[in-house]
Amino acid sequence: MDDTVLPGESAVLPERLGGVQDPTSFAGLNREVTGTDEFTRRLRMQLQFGQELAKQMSSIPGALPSLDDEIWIIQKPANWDAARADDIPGCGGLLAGFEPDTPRDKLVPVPLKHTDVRAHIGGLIASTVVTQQFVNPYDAKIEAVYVFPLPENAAVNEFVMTIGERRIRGIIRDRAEAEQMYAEARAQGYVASLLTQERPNVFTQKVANIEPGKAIDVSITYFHTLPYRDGSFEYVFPMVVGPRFNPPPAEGFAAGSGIGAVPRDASGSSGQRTEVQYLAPDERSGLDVSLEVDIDAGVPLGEIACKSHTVAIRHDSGTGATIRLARETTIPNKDFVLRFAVADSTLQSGMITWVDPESGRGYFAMLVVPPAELASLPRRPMEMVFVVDASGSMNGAPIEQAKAAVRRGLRMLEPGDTFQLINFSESASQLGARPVDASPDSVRHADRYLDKLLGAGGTMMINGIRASLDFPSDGERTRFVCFLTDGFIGNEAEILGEMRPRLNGAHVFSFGVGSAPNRYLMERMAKLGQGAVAYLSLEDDGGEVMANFFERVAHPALANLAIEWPALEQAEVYPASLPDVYVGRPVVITGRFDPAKADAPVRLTGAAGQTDFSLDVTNTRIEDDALARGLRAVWARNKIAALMDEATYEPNAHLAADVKEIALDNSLMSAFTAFIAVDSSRVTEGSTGTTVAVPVSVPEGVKYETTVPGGG
Amino acid sequence: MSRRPWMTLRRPLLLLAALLGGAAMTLAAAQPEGDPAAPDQGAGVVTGPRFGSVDLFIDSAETPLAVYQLELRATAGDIRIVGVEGGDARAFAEPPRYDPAALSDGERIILGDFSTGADLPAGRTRIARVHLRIEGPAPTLELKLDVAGDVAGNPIHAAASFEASFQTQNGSNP
Repeated sequence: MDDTVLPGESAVLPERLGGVQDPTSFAGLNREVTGTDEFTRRLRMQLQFGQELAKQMSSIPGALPSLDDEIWIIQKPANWDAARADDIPGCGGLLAGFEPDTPRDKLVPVPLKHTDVRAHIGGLIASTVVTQQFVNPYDAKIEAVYVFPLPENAAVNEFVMTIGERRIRGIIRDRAEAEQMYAEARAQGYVASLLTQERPNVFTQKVANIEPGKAIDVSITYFHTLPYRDGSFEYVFPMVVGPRFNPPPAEGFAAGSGIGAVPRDASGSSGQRTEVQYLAPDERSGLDVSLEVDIDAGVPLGEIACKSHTVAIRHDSGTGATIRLARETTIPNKDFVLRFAVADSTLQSGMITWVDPESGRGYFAMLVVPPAELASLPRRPMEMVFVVDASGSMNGAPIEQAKAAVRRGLRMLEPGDTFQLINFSESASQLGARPVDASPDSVRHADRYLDKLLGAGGTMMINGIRASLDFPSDGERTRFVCFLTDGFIGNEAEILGEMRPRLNGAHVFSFGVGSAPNRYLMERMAKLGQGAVAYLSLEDDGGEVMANFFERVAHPALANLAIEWPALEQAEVYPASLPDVYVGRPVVITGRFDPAKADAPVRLTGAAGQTDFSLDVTNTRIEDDALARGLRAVWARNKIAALMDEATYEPNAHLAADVKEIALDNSLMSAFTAFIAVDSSRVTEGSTGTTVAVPVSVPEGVKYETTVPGGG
Repeated sequence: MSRRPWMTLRRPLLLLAALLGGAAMTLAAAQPEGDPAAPDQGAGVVTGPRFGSVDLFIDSAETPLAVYQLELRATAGDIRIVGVEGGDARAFAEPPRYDPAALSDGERIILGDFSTGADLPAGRTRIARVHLRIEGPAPTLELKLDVAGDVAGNPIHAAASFEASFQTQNGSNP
């Protein structure tokens, strides 16, 4: 057993450094700390004055500045009253100081001090509790507004507001009704909180009537299934919403329904109802994040790796481990991506089943692992279309990652294959009039084309979609369309609606580029195009990611998948259209079943090329516990996702009612429901207070100047 | 103290409910008689949207209370539940779980919780607080105790009552 000591547990740590993956982390605690980064500077302060004292000070609201905090020179704006009267989101006035060590960075106090993340992974299901710690650093009452991301498949089903020792469980309600109640509670001076969903992966948290110096915590619990990609399960916690580009809405889409990106305190300048305020490059907030993931795999664990962040790993047993962010002061500016492998021999198709004791209904999650024989089948010649997002948000490291991946892909094409290269930003352009043979000459030509892509302008992704799908297939080759993009657009529904009628059998693979890609868009594009998704973070080797992709498409996919099980409720299986299964890319299916027939054998059938396959699936009934309950939430969330997806290409007049019914019955967040919590015990003093948005950093590797309008 | 989430408690709660059968206690009548002509539109009475809370009590006499299920609803008046808070006893300090399906089936809330710890409350104990939005005339509230049980899962004799922090038609104090 590895008993790695984690930061914050002791002021003097012995040299037991197993599991720490980064030499710049807390490994140096018991020797002189050097370095100029934020973490080591804070460590020096803590070691000098004692961690315990620092903790005590920070726990007293309104006390002297904590030793855990920055020392700020607070400047009250002269026009505070005027700003308050405006009551406009983000007009909280500038209260900033300068830190002696880093004179360039202006410290901006924000009403969100810390985010704590606790996740538990049990087999295929993960449950996560996110606690956002709001504080009011101002001398007048405020409403805090925070736009933040969660995983695109998160089934959010619990919401608790904590005021001091008191904890109030939020209630799931029709969204419009909850918004109205929140507005009334806010106007009447009650402490209240409201959680709404702007996209499946973007949420808004509002907390009203936070009095000066007071703290209010909001905890959100969600469940989701874990994807298995290229040899590992993957747990992702997104930390920041990337700056979205919002093209003029197409016919039938409402104006202002995007997600605006604006500079700090420039509320309303995007014209979108939902806005994210971004800190300028020379600004920093005190907002940080702590995170712990507890894995109980149930089978022997293989390698555990986190390229995105420095982590400490403790192996609790052969099948379990605890992973923590090594830095409790981590800035939330990129996705946390944890990958863990299980012993190869243990990965096989299987399902977990649970019967809800309340309703008597059965729920399952099934992992479909492609049969090993698939890897021995040859592929057909391919028509490969690479589509590179060359907009401003890709400028710099992201576009270089994408180019490296495409270059590798070009070199993995075989004689008989053809390819096309398309880039888009404000408009789309392409390498040639039609796909060309994958000859050395044409690959060199493509290299030169790639060299010229720099990343500038808006993200008119619809142009890229049209250019990549609107030309006839040659019929002899399988068409693969690979989108390499950060997905920083606010018109996802339009994009997905444009894609579907143009697919004509093409398989779409999406590559999410950068430190915080729009995973909702990436996943939905791949799902719609019967493909798969991959991610190229800034820490990944773009070429390697592309090579893994070619390994997948180098063999035919297992298609026409069907589940043979008498207990299955066919209409309640999600995804409703079962995906193709590629080598190395198992998929997860959720559904409902009749418990009375649950003992019947389960078999999967499908075909790859001319070869038919069938797989027997092991059925494991799980105990009734919190994670098991998550199965129901995950199933309901997938059902909602299916309805929402379908509505992007087939209008449904009853969409809102259908989604609300599922969401309210299962206490789930959705586009049409919201969680509200009001403390009616006490009316706070004073007026309703100013609305203050929580500004965030742009994702790591993304240039503020090219992505935040008005921020250049 | 060992506590489990609401949904996992449904089985023991349902068993208890079955044991109790028709003995479930409807407690609206247990409330102190209020002024039947309580003002609903009179001077000084707020009839617009407003907020208030209802404290829910269970009196299990000498027996430590380990499990309960309650149903609160308005038989008259317009209420909307906007939050659920825990009670005074340590065993029931966490906000109880509620049944979302019941909430969407008319404005009623079914709350339940259990604890197997050593610090179970006996006597009259506040076990939860429900935060409400009220509109229009003062509501009439009804509280029903579906289940109360001891640590062994046996049903016990108990009484439930409530105190509202706003004007109700059945006598709670503002």
